[in-house]
Amino acid sequence: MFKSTAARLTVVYTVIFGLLAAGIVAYISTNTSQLLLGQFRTAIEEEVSNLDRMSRRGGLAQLIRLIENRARQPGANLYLVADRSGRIVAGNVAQIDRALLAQDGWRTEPFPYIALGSDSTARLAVARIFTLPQGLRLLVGRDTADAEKFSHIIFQAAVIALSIMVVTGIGLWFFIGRRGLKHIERVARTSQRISAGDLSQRLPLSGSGDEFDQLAGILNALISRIEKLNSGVTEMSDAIAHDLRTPLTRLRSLADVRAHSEDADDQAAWLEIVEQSDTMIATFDALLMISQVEAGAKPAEFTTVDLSAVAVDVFELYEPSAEDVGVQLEIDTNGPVEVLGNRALLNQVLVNLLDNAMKYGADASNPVVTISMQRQGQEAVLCVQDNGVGVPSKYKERVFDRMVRLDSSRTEAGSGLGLSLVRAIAGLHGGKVVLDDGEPGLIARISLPLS
Amino acid sequence: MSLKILLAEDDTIVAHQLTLTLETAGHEVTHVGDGEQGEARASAAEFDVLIVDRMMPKRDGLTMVSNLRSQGVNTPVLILSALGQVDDRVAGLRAGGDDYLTKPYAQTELLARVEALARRSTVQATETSSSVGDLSLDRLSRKAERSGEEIILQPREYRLLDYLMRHSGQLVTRTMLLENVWELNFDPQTNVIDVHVSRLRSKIDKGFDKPLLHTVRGKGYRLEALPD
Repeated sequence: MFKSTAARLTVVYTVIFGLLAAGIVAYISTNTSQLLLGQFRTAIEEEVSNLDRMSRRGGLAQLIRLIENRARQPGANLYLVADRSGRIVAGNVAQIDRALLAQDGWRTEPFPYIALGSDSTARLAVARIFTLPQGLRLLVGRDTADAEKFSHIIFQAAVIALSIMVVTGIGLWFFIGRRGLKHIERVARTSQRISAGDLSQRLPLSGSGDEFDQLAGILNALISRIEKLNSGVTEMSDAIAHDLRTPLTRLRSLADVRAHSEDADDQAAWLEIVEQSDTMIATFDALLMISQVEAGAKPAEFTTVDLSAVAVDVFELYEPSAEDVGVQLEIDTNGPVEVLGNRALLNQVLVNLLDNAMKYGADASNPVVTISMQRQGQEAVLCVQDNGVGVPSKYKERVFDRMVRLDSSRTEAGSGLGLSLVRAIAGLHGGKVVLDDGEPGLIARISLPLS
Repeated sequence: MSLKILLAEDDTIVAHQLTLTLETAGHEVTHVGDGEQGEARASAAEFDVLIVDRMMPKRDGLTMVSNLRSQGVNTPVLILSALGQVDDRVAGLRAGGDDYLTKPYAQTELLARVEALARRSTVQATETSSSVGDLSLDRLSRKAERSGEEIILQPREYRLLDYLMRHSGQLVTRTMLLENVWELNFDPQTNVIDVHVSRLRSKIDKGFDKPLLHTVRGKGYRLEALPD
């Protein structure tokens, strides 16, 4: 489930939203509390200075009378007057921790007290302690219960509001995100089909005219252009095939007729001409095939092919001639290995590799060429290994170039296109070919995706 | 055997050459220059083999052949083409062709295939046994025997012998063997086929009085009991 981008993004956004929301709620509640406490402080401070003034003007008795009056009002502040030993003399506080009265100043941490005339449950308050001129202690405070309740209400409201926001946000994101990602998925799938060679596909448009659609429109135009260019390439290849082959055909048949005619004079020369024409044609064919395969201009017909069977067929074909030249040819397969591909092209790959291996591996003192076929994960891996001279590492990439032959002599028949074609065919099948040092010799390894 | 051949080919020089080759081999050739005429002639008269070029004016070779097939004309068809890629061959055979040759081809190759095609239609595909000289092949038991002595054959050797038997007395080229016995469509640069043939030869010919499997130099092979 977590592989889906939609799910992953949703989780990320949920966490971010959640943290932000928690932050906002905390901020709001803290600030509310602070605000209320701040108001209390101001009010209490004012009251204290009022009382102080009055006590200086009117004396203690008047102060106490005033306090008793105010204390009796509903919703009053907390008042307390205590003597030096902490005995409560006036006010509406029944019980309090005496240590709190010890010093002047603010008690901003809510402390427990019991109100006069109430049930004996402790409540919380904040207060200011003040020393009256007569040495008595005055406490003016405020119960924090209401403030707490208020704070709590705000807190709850904030939590609910933000939760709704977060859930809606997640929901919206998920659905919108899903739609967008589904669209992207579709585009990705179509693109895959297109790059596999099916140029008739076009990216789907949702009709909403949004950025996705605009992008799809541009890409579709691009694909149409590629399709046109590609069909141009195919037409040209066919035209080249026809136009080059026709004179070659004539050349060859004329030479062929002369080579087999009755007067044996130049027979050798004519046969040579025939042979060279054949070489030209083989080279031309291979080049044409490589170009077409590389351009994907002619997506070859793919079926399910058992690569092991192909390996066995080619092995059987080459076995007798291998024996004749003293090369020990071996094969190692392990049941059928199926890939999606073109059997004829895959045959060609194996033949080219085997041909190379036998040609360049034959000079070893005890030449052995091994074909092995294995499954590795999601891939079919075909190896052709010889124990001959191998390829010096600096040439490893160059051997794939067209027309490369590492010995500068070109006396041997056959064009230097073998590996080039192998690479093109491997690419067409969605695979790759790699050359490794066999120490000694060369290992040619082709990996293709299993069907 | 003398065959009645229809050649549909628009290139006059190539057509001339082909006609010469075929007539020299003793066959009767009717030549048309486009696919429309080709179709008309082939559906009207009885030919033994049709040789059809793929690219022709008015109607191309593949269309001509598939039209003939849908009309119920089952004459064996050899398609000639400059397009030699694998899938071109497949397309040609799908359209109803029986064999496919890419230009340029050796005259002998063409001749061998034409004669093989003609033979194919007359010979029952499921002949249970064949023989050439004193060599016989039993297709039911898949055993070969010569002068009463059983010859043990590997599966591929059996297929090779079977094919040669079906075309006994005819020239069989390396490419034909590659295509029909190994089902591979390429031209190997090395002589892989030759080695297989010589192994078969040593099994069926060595130690017996008359050689039956002959090499036709530069062309191919022929399984035949030559008169003394």
